[in-house]
Amino acid sequence: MLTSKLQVVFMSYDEPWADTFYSDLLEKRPDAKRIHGVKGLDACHKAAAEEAGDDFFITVDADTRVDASFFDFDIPDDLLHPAIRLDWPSRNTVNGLTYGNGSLKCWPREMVRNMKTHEAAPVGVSSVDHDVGKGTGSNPDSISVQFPDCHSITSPAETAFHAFRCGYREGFRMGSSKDPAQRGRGFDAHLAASNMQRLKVWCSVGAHRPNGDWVIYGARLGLLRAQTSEMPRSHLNSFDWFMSLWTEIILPRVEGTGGECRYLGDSWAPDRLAEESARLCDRIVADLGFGIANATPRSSALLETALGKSVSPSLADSLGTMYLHGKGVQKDATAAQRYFKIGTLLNQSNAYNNLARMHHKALGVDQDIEAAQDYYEVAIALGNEFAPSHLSKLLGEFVEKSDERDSRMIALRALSKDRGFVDSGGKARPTGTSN
Amino acid sequence: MRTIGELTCIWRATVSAPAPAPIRMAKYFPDHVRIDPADRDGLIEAVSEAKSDWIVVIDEDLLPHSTLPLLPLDEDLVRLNLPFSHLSRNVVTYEYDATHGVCFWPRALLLDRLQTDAPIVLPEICAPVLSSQWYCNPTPRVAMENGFLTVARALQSRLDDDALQALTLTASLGADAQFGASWMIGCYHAMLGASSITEIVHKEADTETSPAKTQARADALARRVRLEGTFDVVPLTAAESSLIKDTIFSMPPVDHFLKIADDLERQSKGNSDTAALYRDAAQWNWGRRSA
Repeated sequence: MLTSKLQVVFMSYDEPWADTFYSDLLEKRPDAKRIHGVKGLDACHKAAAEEAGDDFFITVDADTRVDASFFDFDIPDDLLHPAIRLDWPSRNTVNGLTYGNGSLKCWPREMVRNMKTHEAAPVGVSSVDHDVGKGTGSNPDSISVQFPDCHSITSPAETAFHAFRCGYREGFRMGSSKDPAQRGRGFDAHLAASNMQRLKVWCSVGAHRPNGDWVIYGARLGLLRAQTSEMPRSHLNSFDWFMSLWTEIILPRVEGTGGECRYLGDSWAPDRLAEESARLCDRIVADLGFGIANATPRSSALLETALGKSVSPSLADSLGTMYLHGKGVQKDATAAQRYFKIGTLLNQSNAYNNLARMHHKALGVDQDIEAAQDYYEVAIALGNEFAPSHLSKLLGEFVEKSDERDSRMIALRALSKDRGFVDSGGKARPTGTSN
Repeated sequence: MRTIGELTCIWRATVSAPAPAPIRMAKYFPDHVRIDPADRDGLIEAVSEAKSDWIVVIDEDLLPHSTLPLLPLDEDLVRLNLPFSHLSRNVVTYEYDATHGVCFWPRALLLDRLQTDAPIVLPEICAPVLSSQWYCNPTPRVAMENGFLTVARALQSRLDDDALQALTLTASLGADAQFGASWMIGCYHAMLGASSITEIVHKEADTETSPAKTQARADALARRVRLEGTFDVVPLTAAESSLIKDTIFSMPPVDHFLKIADDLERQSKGNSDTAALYRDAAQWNWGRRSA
């Protein structure tokens, strides 16, 4: 189905530029609807679902401008499903990153109605942006499929306050860990590679853009607070808390003139902001051992251009898994194998591991133990966390008992544990080493 | 399914091959045959005696990855019976490089070329697989030469805006790498229109005396490039350079996927399924407009 056939809803809350961005959207989609001022991200999405009134609808965030080309996008029919949320990444105008922040999303109405995230999350469950769409227990089978196509730009720095808030939220969200043992120096070893990369960029790039220094400062402070304080993640959902932080703590620290917000009237001393931000950079590098840069505007411009050419890891492997197990789509082993092969061309260790599983367990293909073994070996060499355990089991099942075999099995199980995967089928801890 | 480690491996290396290379070769290809690049007769003999029908050829300026011997030999490419190569990673800039990489030759074809004195050039087909590092900076002089040659070679082609931008980055990275400033100096001379590497090496001999002097010279040349040329080069700091390497080169550029798809289809219509896989891989990483 073409995206032009789906209802679009623009969601704004307190963004002073929102009218301008909504007008821009109306030029491309005159029938776009809008909800404004609904407090709480969960409530806001539910209001959008009701406003749309259809089984599937598209949301546009208030800081996102959509390219007209988006409305020519043809969504494969089998992906328009009540359990699947579709995402199209957005390109950040400050730091050049292209990923889910500010992304366009196609929602099944039922998924939104049933989800319980952010302020609606069950007591004791922390829920932030990437949880939107998850049932937090009530709808565990929901899936997010991220298309690589970018049809929008997101401008998080229209005001100094919003720039700071956006940077802080991303810095804190990506830099936080539920396990206190994983905080401090070396914390990044526990991050997914893509999050580690994005976090570095948020903390380093943007000095050449208006209010870009506020984005960077916010990201650095958010990261440090995530790593060195007990601040609850739920604060990220409270825009009132952010306003208090801004007016009572942040602005007084950089009091002065030279910088001014045309929307909100805030003023500050850019030199003091630069000093504060550089100090945070030094702390992050020295105390956390996390390599970020205090880039000059000239360097920052070059970095942003280069980042615009970078891509997020492919999700071909995730699609393969959906087709293999019939999660949200009709089971189709041929389609699954094709997606896994694409994943191997992109050097994804999970794709090798999944191809191995198909051949090992005869999942829709003839059993081929030799091929399975070879695929597992590549997956292991690429750092996959599951493959060592699977290969150990394969050796136990199909290779004649010998001292050599038993030693290898023990070594593989140890490697598996070291990479955070335990034989019971659960993960001991998340890893950032899948590739 | 055959793995690359099962093939006969020929390492083309002089006695002065840079230190990390022999260690890696001994570790990952313990049965490799070492041949001096100038020793054509030795190469003919090694190829004649090879036990496998395909041969891996690795040059001395490449540092193979530990995963290389474990990778499956791409049977779709083997069926073409044409030589192909892999990508390497430039150790100064971390960029993907298609002009240096591990090569794979059908034994009979390689032998035929050697016996007829045909040139052994880089294969036309390059699979977008990263399997080695291009060790382009073992000494300041070699780093400078390689920086110069890389940019000079690129400037021989007609460059669109994206390619100009990429070349700007190539010449701005390296402050965190061994002899990275020498690399930049070589790049900047090429951008300023120098034609002889020998002349440049002679001219810059004095700058090799200290790292501070080399960096100052790189900064001065960068200013000249910005003023006189079409490249807005910025010698990035070590932290900035390192940030770029950490963030943007996780996947080979889309062009490599599209090129091999085109190459496969040009060779035979029977390859269209494999070509489609490469195009889909491009699409899944870079979007539909890439394909």
